[in-house]
Amino acid sequence: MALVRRTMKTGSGLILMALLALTAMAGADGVGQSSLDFKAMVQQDVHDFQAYYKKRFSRVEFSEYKNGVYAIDAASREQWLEMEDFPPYEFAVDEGEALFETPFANGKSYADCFANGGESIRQNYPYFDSKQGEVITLELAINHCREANGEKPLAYEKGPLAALSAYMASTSAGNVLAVLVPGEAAFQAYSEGKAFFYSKRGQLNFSCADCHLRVAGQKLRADITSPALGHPTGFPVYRAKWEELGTLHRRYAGCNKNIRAKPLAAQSRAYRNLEYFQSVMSQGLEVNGPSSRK
Amino acid sequence: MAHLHVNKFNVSIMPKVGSENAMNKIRLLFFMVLSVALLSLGRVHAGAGVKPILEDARLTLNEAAAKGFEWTTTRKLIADAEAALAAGNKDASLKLAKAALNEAQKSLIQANYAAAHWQDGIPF
Repeated sequence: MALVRRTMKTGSGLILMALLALTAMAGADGVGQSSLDFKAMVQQDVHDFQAYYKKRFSRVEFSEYKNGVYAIDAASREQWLEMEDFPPYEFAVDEGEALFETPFANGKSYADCFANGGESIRQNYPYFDSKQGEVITLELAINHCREANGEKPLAYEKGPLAALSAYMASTSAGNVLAVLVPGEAAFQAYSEGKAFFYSKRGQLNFSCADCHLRVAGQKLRADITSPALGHPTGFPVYRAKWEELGTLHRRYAGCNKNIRAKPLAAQSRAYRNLEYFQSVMSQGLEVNGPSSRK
Repeated sequence: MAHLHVNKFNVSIMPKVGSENAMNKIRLLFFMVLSVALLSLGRVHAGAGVKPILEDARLTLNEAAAKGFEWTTTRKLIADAEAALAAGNKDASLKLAKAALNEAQKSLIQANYAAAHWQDGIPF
């Protein structure tokens, strides 16, 4: 302290302090710069991710990736289009609409919980809630709404929650995914989702990227793997294998089981962050859920 | 002289040969008993060794699970090892317990490797 006082009394001390102040200001700018940097990193990721598919499937239009494997495999697409003549998810959408319009015991409804009365908002999910410090998916928001109104939460993988989600997605058809990474905490969640996507797991030692990026479009046993680009746009989906509607997290669990990795709970932090990462990577694509898959 | 020499030895050797035969029989019996005892001990030890291996497998698996890297097959191996032990099938139990521990260790290695090297999976 004595040294500081002595230094302050001299002219050189004043110059030194001025330099320190300038350094501090530069540091403050540095913080601003770092917040810009992670946004730039996300945009770079999006660019690289989408460019990879553009190069790999050069004849496929970007807008087609919302259709999953049907964007890249003509034979599967033909069967799918025939199935879409009588969409197997229609009844679930009707059921979801009826549930959506049924008031809670307290007289309020789902429409009271969401922006724009819950219509045409699917493209904004999942989003990062800065106050809660976590990713909020549409399914989680639906259950938050129920609990806030004194209702029990619904099971996350199928049934009424999937139907509600399907109805809400149907009101958003054609809207472009607009999932952003607005701050540093959001970037952390995004990064965790990214790490999950690229991490090998399970007894078979596969990552999401192994099947849906590196060998997308190739056969794994009898199935052609879908591109990861566009994965979240069509959910919830009616799968022939399930013979019913299921949510994206149900599909994540199925994928994990396929590689002999124990699935995580639906709406677990890890799966929500994965959905967040995948949605950011798919920005620019239209919401087209619910849809049907093999 | 030679005969005398032999006779000289006969006196002392003959009883010795007889006692050596007896000793050999005793030694043979001793080794047989020892072998049976060692084999039995080995089996007892195998049974006693299953529990620590299973405990190790459980702890390692829980560590991997906490990191989100549990395999679907490992808990079944542990359960099967416990069932075999309860049924008195110690050899099968030991084999299953070792397999469970091996899997648990590999899943933990996978988790730690992924934490440090997941970026290696990015192809661009």
